[in-house]
Amino acid sequence: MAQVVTCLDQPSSYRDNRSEIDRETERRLLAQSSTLYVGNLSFYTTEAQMYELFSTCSRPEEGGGIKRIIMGLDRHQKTPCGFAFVEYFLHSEAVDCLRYISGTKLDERVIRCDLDPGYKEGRQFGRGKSGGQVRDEFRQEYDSGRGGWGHQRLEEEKRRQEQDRLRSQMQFDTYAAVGGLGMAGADVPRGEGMGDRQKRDRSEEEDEDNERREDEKRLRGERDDE
Amino acid sequence: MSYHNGLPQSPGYGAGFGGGYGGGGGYGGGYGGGGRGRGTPRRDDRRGGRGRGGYGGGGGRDNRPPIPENSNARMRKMVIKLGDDDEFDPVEDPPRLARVLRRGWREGSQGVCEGFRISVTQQPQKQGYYVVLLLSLSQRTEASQAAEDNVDPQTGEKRKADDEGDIIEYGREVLEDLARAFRGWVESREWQNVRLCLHFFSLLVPAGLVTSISLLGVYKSMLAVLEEVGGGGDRAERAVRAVGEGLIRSGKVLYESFPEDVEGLISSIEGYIIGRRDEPKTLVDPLAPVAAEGQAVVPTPDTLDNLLSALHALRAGNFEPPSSLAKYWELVPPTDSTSSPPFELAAVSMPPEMYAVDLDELDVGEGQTGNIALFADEVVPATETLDGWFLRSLVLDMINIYEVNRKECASLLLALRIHLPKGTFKPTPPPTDGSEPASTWSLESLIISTLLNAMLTLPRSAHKLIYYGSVITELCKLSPNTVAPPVGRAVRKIFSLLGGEGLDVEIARRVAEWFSAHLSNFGFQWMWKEWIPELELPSSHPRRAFMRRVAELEVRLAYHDRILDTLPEPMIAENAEVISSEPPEPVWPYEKPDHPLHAEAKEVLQLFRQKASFSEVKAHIEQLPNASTGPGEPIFPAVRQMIVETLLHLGSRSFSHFLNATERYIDILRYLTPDYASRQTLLQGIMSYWRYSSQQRLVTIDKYLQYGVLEGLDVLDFLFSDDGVAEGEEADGWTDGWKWEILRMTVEKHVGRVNAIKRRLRVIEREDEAARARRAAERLESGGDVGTEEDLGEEVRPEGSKEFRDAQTSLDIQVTRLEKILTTTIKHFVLTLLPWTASDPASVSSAGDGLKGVLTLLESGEEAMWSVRARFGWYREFVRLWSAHLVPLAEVIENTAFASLTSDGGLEGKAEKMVRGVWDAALSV
Repeated sequence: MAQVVTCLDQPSSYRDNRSEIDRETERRLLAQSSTLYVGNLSFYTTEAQMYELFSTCSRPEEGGGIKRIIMGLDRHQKTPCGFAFVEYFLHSEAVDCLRYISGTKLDERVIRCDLDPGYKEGRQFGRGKSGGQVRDEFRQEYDSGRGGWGHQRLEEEKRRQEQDRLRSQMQFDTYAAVGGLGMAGADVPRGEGMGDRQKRDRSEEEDEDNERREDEKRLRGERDDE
Repeated sequence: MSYHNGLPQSPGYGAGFGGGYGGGGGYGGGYGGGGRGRGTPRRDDRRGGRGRGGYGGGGGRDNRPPIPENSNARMRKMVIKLGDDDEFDPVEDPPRLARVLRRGWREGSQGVCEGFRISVTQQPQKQGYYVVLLLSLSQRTEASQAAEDNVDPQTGEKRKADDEGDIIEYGREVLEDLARAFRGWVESREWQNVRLCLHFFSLLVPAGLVTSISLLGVYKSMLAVLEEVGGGGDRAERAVRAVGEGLIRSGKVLYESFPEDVEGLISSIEGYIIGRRDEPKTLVDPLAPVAAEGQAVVPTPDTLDNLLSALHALRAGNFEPPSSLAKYWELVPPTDSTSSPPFELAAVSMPPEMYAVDLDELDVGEGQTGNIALFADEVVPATETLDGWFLRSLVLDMINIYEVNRKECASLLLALRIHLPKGTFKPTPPPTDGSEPASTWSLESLIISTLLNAMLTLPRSAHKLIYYGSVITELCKLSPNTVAPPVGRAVRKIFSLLGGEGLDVEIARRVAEWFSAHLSNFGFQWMWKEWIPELELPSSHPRRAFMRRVAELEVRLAYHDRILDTLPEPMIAENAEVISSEPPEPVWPYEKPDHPLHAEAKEVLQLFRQKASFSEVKAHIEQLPNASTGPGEPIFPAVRQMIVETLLHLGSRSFSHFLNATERYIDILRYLTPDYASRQTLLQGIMSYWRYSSQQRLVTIDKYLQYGVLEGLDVLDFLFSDDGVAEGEEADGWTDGWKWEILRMTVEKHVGRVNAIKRRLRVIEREDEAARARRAAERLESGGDVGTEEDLGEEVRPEGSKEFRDAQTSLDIQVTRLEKILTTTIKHFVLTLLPWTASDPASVSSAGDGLKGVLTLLESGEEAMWSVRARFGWYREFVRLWSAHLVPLAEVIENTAFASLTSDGGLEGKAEKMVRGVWDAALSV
């Protein structure tokens, strides 16, 4: 049906400039990728909020669902810096997000989705000089969700600041505090494989995991979100 | 966003939605394959050229060189874009385009034909223009013919006289191509294309381009499926809709020459529609009130009933087509041209019925929609009227066609006003001169009504719920002043159907899900105030439950304080029960020093935080004092639950933390939950720890099923245990939907496992097949005689590889599990609704009187026991949603769930009849 209107599910032309894979491989990876890059998030948006919104594109009856979410963190502060990876089980689920979710709001911000060739260790960190995203270093306008001045009435601003402070604290506790996910860059969960595994049979998963770690050593690429 | 008429207080959208795609043009020659497109080039104006100034420039992923545009591509594009210009005139402009197309015919005729194929099936809103274009292409005035051939009139005439066959019959070429495509679509069961192309052919008869008799022939050949033994199955329904809609367009002309044939067609359609069984329809009726004795429930007409009413209206109006159908060809002034003789369409032969359900994914849901009247008839014409049917069908087709691009879909829908006859809709803004507009119909209301009804189609909508919602969001962004009011009215109407009117629980669930996401896009602003009086209703009432659900889903998308801020005072008052009194935070009771397990829990948490190994933690648990009756004895449930909740506590900070904790201590979880009883303890732990967050309960159970910690049956039993109907009218997990949410996830997960393995099996099968073919080819190449040991080994392999057999085995296991899940669920539902049928009534935990209680109260005119009614609704949804899986298990289900239904009189009998009726309806589909 795409001869009259363009499809929204094409990946953007973004290219990870630290990726070592060639274009052809990348194209092939994207064509079957079930990982979504999500950008323009508020720093306060939680994984639970993302889980709720992105569940609307999952297809559990096809063996799909959200496998894991990897929050993008400020390299130094280890707090969320406005992007994330959402990994599904199925390619079609990720594609549907481009059609239905990209360009809509989450936590009152218009978010952007893009297909991603797949998460690699290290990519959860921002690449800006400050440790956050590069784009925030270029940003000049006010952005309440990313820490900036506002035009709201003073009172509302006060209320919001208090709320932001609380939410900010929560995000700090989640990622930057002791036991937080950002420390040492470790502890990104693997996410369980497709649901057809027998109960309590884990060997296959472990093999896959080892393989992936090998991959990660080989391909240490990072993505800065534009 | 204001849902009343008036100015929107909409929070700043604007930014971020600029740009879009001016693209579309310049695609070059690669259309045909479909689905091809580029990364949409965007420019982010906010950045004013700073930063990287957008992407898509050099070095993008799509760096293929642009394919030079050839004539075919150029002319195809011209055809497709017909009518897109603001200044377009449907009578004057198509002939102009026709002249251009004729000039380039030799190089670009294929492009023109393709343009017609695409436009007819993908731009139904513009079919009227294409009729005029085809009419122009079919006219051949000698002067224009000569002029176009750009030859001297005299020689031109001479050539014509010499060689008649050299004249290009432009219109005929297009029609021949389209007729060929049509037959192809019929054969390959592309029903949407079939129906839309038949619309076009039907318009060509009144335009004089196709003969009446041949179109009748096509209609008859399609309806021939109705004569088949068994009624023709799915194809019959498709054929009936296609022909019925064709008649709406062509009936008048056909009836003039062939009145009997037209009557004949209508009566076969009538026969088919009326002859259907009623039971399947009752299962998908959006309104299912529990009726008191002697109270008749009027069934909601379904799509086909509407079609029949529309056809009756057509006949009653002397086959005059609907006023909203554009008939531009009637305005084309007669010329002195000689037209080609009308085209003769060939009859089609319908393909055989397809039985492999898996393969018949194509065009599922085409033309299907829910049927709730959300607006008054003078705002959106009723679907059983001619115009009502025509307009809804058009909008519905567009919604399905443009699913690939919700933004384009929204703007094309709003542009319908331009493409339909002037005065079809009430003008916006209303005329200033005080004159009464000709129409009271609202385009925006029509669109919202059609979108919502498509979304609320039972048992399943054709696309994901979020698609329809995303179009509504785009519509509201494009035109907040005209779209938001109908959205608000539709929600109020749906709200009013909750309760006594008996709106289906599943419909309420979908609306709450959509509406909360919608509000999340528009600053969570809603007129909650007008629902304050509803707070008088009992807490379990569907309207109260709906309000709670919307607020809860809003909190999931935002946060507790944010939503609290949007509610009026009476709704946040204590005991108002609109929004949870607590934010969705975890509860770890062991924190308190006076908790009996305070010290133990702290120790365990400490171990977890230190990333102690499985054996260390296990050793610690085993030596916990007072954890069991003695060494080696099972751990007390309270201790078990404490450890489980402490592990949840370790992972409570985020979804990732939870996955980490689960992955690290999965062996602890398994060690703690070796048997059924201990897994019930685990579930209790989850319920208690996440008592304020239904989302976390869902996610936790989902992942524990995924990681194989829990089994489906554990969850089912847990959901239905402690299922006593609260005395009074308190809300519970069924009225509020969270129990159903978990139940549905559990069943879907099992269905998903089966489907995933089936997919894998198909892949393995293909690979095995390819491997066999490769080996055969290799042997052949090498002379077929040098078989090495290894080759022989491969050859003697039976039908499938080891991988295939393994997959087959796990498929069998998963299928058995799914069957167990399905039969157990239905049994649970029957018992909770009809507790007296339990062989051991004590085993059904105080489920009260079930449906009998509802009926008893109804006898005295009291609508109550909403919790039981909700269960009945979910039972109905369960049967409806998975009937394809349930029906093959009919015998088992009959023996396990329904065997003890024996009452035949009184309220018990009536209740049993209700429950059995739902099941019988599923069996009759």
